[in-house]
Amino acid sequence: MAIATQLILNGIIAGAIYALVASGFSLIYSVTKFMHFAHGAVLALGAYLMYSFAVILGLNFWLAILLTLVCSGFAGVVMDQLVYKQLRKRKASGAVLLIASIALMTLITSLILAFWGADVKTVPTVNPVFDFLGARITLTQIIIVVVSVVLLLGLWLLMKKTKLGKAMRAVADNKDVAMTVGINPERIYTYTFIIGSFLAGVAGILIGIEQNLYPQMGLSLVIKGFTGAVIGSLASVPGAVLGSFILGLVENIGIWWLPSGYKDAIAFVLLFIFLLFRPSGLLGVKVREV
Amino acid sequence: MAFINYLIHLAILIGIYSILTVSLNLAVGFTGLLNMGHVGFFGIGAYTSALLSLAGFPIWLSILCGGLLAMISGLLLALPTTRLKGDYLALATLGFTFIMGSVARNWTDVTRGALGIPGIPKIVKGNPEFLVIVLIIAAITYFVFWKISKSRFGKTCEAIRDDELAAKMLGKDTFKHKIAALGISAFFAGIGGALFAHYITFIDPSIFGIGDLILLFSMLIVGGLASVKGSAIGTIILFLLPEPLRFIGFPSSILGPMREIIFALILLLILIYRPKGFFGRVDLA
Amino acid sequence: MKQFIALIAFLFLSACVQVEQSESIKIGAVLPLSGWGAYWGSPEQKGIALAVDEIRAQGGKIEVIIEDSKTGAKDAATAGSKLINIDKVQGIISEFAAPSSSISPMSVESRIPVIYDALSKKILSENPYALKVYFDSEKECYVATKYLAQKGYKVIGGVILNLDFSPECKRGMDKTAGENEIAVKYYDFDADTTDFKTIITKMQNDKIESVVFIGYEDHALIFFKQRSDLGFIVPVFTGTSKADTFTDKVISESPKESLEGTITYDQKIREGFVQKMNARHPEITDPDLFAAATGYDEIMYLYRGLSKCSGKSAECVVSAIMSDKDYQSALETEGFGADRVMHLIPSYSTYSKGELIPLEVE
Repeated sequence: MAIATQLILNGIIAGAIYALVASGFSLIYSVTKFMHFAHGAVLALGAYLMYSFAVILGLNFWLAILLTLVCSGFAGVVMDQLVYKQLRKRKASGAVLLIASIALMTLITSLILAFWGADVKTVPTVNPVFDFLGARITLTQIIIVVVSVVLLLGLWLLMKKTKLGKAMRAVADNKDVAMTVGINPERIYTYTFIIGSFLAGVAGILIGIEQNLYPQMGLSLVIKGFTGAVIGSLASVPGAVLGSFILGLVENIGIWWLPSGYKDAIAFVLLFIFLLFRPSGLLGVKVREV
Repeated sequence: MAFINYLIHLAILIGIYSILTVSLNLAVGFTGLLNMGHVGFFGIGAYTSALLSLAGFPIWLSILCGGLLAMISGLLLALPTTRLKGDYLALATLGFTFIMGSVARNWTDVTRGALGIPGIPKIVKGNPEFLVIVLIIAAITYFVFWKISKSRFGKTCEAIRDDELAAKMLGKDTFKHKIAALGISAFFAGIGGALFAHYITFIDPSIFGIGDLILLFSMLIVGGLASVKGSAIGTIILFLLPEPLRFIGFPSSILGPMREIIFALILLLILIYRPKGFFGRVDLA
Repeated sequence: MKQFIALIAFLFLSACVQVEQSESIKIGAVLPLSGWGAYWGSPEQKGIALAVDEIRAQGGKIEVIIEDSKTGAKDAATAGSKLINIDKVQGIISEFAAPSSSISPMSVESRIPVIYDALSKKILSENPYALKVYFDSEKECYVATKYLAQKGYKVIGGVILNLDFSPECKRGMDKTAGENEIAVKYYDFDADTTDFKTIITKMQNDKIESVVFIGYEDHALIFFKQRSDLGFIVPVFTGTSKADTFTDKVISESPKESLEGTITYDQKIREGFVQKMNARHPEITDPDLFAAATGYDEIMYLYRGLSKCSGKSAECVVSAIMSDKDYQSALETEGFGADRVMHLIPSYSTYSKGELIPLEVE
């Protein structure tokens, strides 16, 4: 039975990692209505900045985290202002925004490669192992699971209880109507990118510590992130988090029976099935009017 | 002068990729289907033709089969996905490409997995002769899609792109049109893939990668959506664009990423300042 | 728009004007400077630069032109075509199977010798002007599995990176399994895998007694850490070399009990070369040294062969390289054999109580 527990735990941990990515991605999607692939790049940037602050510069760990989060939020806003906003002004299509986002991702990945190099980097931490119902989990992994849940609650509070959150939901529902009640969509987009990219920074720090850093890390994570989001519901953060946990579990339990090389294929097949049969995800939050 | 050999090489690649871009335009530019599975069709055509020709089938038959299998995949993919909205269609078709990549990597009995398939036979021995063949096929492709763009089928597709509900109300079978558009464009992508395989003589699962997808969409957008001419020109521009960069002497430590960086920057600039591309007639609303 | 095209055309053509007609020996290097192979191509340039400087210091005339293969066949083909047709190189070096496979037909057609570093043997059989460097994955996996079998382990797990070594390694492991009546189970993973927990859990369930591990440093870092976390401490024998997998970083950052007893092998690099590299690049790591040494040797062998055969055929160059026994390569080997392969000679060691102790394996 310890094996089964370990397996489920592995799935939960993997799911929490995907949830960290998916929450920011889904937040941005729900408000701005396009898929910000470059979210993965902000994540990678966050990880590498953390590495630079904590390891290369040797700053105090918490200071490094703070600096990284500030820079990540900032990076996200810069991307929005320099690229997406210009495209929005020109009424560019969803296709174009998607391509621009992928181009940004390539750009930043290459910058990371040029600046930090191709070899893998690590952020060493003290990481004791704990026993949990017969299975093993490390401190970092516990933190990841806890943080993903806390983030979920925090975002829920933000969206439901704060004025900003209500404004974001208004813009998400219907931008034009929101404008008529005096909400400035561009301001909301900026806030959305700040928060979403802050989340990417959190993800980058935690994932960097847990799984080490390599330049292309953003791409694979954002793909898993949006897969999780689609499963749960692309336009709803709780849905995205739920879907991510489901993805993590299915992947890990799936390769129990299938050859382990099929891990990624499982994710893609799930993505495919959900997009075909239930595009609004398990939580069924509809994105557009028919 | 051997310089011409290099130009021939570039021209062959441009020819093959123009087949891909022009066919992609039917689905994306004309019909409004954000199809990111095009690379999947390309790869299917390449692998099919490679495996068949290595098994002893005549080359032209292999290439044709590559196109046909790609077309069938396109039709099968279209069936469930065409009723999805824009971004979702993109994700589903992207998922298809990734699934194909995974199959290529794991179905080692057939595809040799990550080892790839080397020693694919060439169609003709010389590159200049091959260039002629590629140009002929590219010209045929261009002509076919040009004809389609002017035909009633093409106009209906554009109507579907602009306002599907209206098109339905006018009695058009939008479903059939969308499937046909994907199928036709997949066929040519498969042919392009087969030609690619017989030229480079080596393919591996990386053919299903996101890199080529970005390249294709760049060519498409730069040339302009819903313009057959635009696709051809977009292909040429994006292939020739990095060439001068080769000759700028970067310090070798940042040589590799530097070219990617400049390429991505140029692409972003074109997207921001000319999102309709050079000849595009539309933006997807 | 028209100006744009004119600009591109002008830049393109102007760059193609042949500026100097020197007597330099020109060698083209198609390196993976981006894509997944960048970890190899990037440091390799350091070795190439050292080779070029040394040759010139001795009065030799050499020019090495570097192009990025992006670790893919298509871009490698374009790079190869440019090097052969525009730069008129007399020899080429290339890394990894996909890029090398697409350059090979060009090398045959233009009769230009190529030294490549990859596992694919097919290139050798199809290209009489090709020479190959590298470890033999099939052999290394065979040796590793056989050693473990002889130590009494009956159920052996192969944790294998799904790249071009995967099928060859499995062949080697299966061969041992057939000869020794042991069971071998495979656990594949993709290059961007960052989580081995479920694979490890599976191995625990399958009662795996020892592991043959094939992957790179980044995978090893995670594998050794997670297996310790999960309490799966069985002996590990790496199927890839120390420079690729069981690097100094892995040794210094992994939990000690996880490393204990791990067997790996090294390609010895001559001390002289290591010192020269450290002088230029004090921070250089082991994996980088391996890549640099490979690049250095490839250039040296090719330059020496081309020098001996100035103006003569590619066949001359190939046989000159094969018979070149005077050159002290950076990678301690016996040079190229009659099969046109520069066999790297593994020297095995086992990690024990903080040190690597030499081990007799074969």
